[in-house]
Amino acid sequence: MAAEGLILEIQRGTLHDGPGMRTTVFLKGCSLRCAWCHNPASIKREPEQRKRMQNNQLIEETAGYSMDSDSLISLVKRDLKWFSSTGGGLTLSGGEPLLQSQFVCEVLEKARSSGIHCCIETSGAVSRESLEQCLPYVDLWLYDWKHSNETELRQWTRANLDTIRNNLNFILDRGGQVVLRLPLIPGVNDTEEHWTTIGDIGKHPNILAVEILPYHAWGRLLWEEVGRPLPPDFRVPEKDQINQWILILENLLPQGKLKNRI
Amino acid sequence: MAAQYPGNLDSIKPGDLLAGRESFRPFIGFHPEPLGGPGLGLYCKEDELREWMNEPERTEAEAHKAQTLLDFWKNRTVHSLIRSSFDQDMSEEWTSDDYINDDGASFPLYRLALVNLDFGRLMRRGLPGLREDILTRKSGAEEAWRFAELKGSSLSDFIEGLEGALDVLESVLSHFLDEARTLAGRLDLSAEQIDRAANLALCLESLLHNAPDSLQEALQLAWITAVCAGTWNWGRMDDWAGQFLVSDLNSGALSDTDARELILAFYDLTRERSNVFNNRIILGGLGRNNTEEADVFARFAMEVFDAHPGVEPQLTWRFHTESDSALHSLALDLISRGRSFPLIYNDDAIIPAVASAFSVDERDAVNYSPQGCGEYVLGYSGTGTPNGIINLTKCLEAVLAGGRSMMTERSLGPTHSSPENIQTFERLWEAYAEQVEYHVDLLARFQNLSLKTAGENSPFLLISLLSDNCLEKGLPLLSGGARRIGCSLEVYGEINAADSLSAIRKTVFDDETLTVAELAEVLTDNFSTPENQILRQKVLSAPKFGNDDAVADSMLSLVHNHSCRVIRESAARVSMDYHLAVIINNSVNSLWGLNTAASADGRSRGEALANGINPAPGQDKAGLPALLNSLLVPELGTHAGAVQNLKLSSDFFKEHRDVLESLLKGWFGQGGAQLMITVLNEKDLEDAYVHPEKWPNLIVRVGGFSARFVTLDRTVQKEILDRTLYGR
Repeated sequence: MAAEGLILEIQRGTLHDGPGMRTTVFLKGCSLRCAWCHNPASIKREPEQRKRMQNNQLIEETAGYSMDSDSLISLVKRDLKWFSSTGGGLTLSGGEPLLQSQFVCEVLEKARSSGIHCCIETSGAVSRESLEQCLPYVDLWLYDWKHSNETELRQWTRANLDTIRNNLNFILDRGGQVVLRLPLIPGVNDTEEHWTTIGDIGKHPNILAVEILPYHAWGRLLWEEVGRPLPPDFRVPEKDQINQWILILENLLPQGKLKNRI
Repeated sequence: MAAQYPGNLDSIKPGDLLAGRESFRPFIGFHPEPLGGPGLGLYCKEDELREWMNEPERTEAEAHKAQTLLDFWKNRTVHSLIRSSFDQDMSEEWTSDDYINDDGASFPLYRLALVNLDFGRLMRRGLPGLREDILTRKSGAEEAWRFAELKGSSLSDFIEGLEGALDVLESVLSHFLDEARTLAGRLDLSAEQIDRAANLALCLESLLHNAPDSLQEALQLAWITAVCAGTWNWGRMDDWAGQFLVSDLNSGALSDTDARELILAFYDLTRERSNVFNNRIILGGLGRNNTEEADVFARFAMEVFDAHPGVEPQLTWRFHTESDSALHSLALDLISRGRSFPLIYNDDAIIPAVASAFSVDERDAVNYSPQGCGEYVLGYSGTGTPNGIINLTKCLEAVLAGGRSMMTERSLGPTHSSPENIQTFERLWEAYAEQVEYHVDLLARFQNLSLKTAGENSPFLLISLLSDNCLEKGLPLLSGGARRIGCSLEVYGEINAADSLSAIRKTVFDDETLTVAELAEVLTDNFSTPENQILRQKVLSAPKFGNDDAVADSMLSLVHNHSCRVIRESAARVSMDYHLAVIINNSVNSLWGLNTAASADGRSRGEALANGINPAPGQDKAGLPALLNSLLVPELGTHAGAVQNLKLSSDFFKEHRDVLESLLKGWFGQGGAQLMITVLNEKDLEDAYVHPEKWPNLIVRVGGFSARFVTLDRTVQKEILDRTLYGR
């Protein structure tokens, strides 16, 4: 009996979630509550009603549906030829995919046996068991690093820094390949402490790249769609400020590791 | 010809590098494809002439003269001769030729389009060499000791005609030679202008006595010849012009800059003569004689276009696994900069497909040229003119409305049974197929009639001289001279017909939501009532081509293979070598949409039909790989060209160039034939802002994630728009 997963959306032909052209599966459910979350429909661990604008009309729909691992894999495999020509593959994202570790693990195992390159995007705020279970099948981890200060991280996201740090080290020690992803929010995590920590982490040879994701306000409106109160209105960084961050990080990181993903 | 040239050509302007501007388009004349009016051979653009005649500033004498001309040509143009030879079926079906304003499921077109001249031979032989060839042919006939008896026969007429055609070309060159000399003697011109005029005079004089020996001479001779022949396309220009370019560069006769200016001068001539549906310059590909020199020309041609972009000439890049990778990359560079050219064609997939569709071997197929809006023709071995158009969505409309148009209720095709009698999908398909086959048969008969009538009245001498076999056979192109006589048929509404059939199968026959007769009423009503709007949502949610959906894609295959097959099979019935479907890109899909009722795929009345063989606008929602999978479904080897478009974001080119290149390589490796790639720019985004429903798949990068443009808040959309507009 194939495991079932709760899925928010499947995008075929993505370019920003790992190498090549990929199929990205956004799983629904997340234990964090990041104040800047740009995909709030992915938070709740069950299907929910969503009102949104489409073609200038307000439509009501259910966000989230179940799918078993076999159906998902057969959909993913339809793009095998494009994965192989572009060096792409499958990315499991969220929400937090590792909250559905049994499903994820099954999907990864089947994907790998079909020769598909697999990425997982995770916040790291997950159980060690779920990581360990999936580790053998993951080619590349897209690992979020949201804050380097224990108190601040908890305040902005409810996450525990030790868990995230230990899990990252666990992956790196086990030889996992990692791209570190940095959501950067002015006044929240553009701190000296954060830069220095990233500089240290980034020296590890298994950190293949560091990507910055400067804050934008465009996800803010999506909170209303799923009936959540509007989050704080952070300041959107100017181009100059982003360039300044890039300069700081380039100085701290080994050459060529910083990738600007705007 | 002598009456038209050089009289219709514009004078040389100071500074010109090439002579022969053609901006004047006479109301009456001789032309294979006169723009602005129907006809081939002797034509009269009656509507334009009437309009001119009725302008307030016309004198009575002018108006009288115009009326006299209209009366004289009324029954003498090839167009009117063809029309008066219509059989009863044609007369009943095609009460008008006005496919833009009138209602119909098929229309005839009158032209000899997409002609390629054998420029290679023109370059090798020059005018003196061609004259020698004609004389040789003539003396061959004399040696048959009967030339005197042949006097007045078709052979002697043809040969004398060819000599006359060369006389015209020479008189045009002499005319411009005089002009160039006069310019070179003008004291009011700058030293550079005088220099250019003097050089042009030398070039023109040399062409009167020799085959071309420089790039300027080659371009000049090709231009004058094509203008006088009335053709619009330039064939494998890199192959016929490359050796002159390289030899001029090597000898120092031309600097790099000089060569670019000459090529630009040629582009400018095409732009002034303007025919956006033609003016193809083919670069690259298998089967060229002078590959190395041709590649040099291809590079120059693309770089000059890049520096001076425009909508003409239509640069076309043929490539294959062994193509020069730097040139291939250059082609992609141009596309990435939003030039929309070159159009790219995959020889590895197309050559075998062309061989199969045209029933020729690969040695002939290797000389295929994508012409016009995407139709393949076989080099200069014969004709491939698209002289008919058919609307498959309209054919289905006629079936659903009991053999009538839902727009005007005029009768269409052979369907007589009422929609109440259609109780199964199989019965619906039979009625649809019968309707399509009726129009195809009618058009095949028409194509044959039009070429035959044109052949009897218009020998097209220069085209015959520079086409395979005519001189050797001693016969004009359309009177048995051409190695192959064939036509293509422009197919529209293929996708909407297929998606409609999918929707009907689901809603009418599987879900039994309504009957065929009820559906016909809904479509005639154009989904206007609230209940019908709900039905529209139902049919819109049925499977659509372009989403990697097996049901929708196999329906498209059924529709595509059926029309391609019946068109191809019709050739034998009318003694043509081929008659092939082309599913191409131009504005007919929008224009014809205006006269097509609402269709069962959810398309509303008047809305454009899907373009080429692409998903209906806004109906491809499953992402790029899904679209590519669907685009690979339709068969290649049964038609003469099917256009597939791809709109990509400029970010894809800028930030993921490696992925894009490997994706295209993968696409062509999978058997993709061609792609017309549009890079999204500000205009596209503006359109997405105004008409979000057309752009469901437009993904924009907004910070750390990608979003579908249409799901973004209006203000966000506006913000993205503004950002793009200012290039920030």
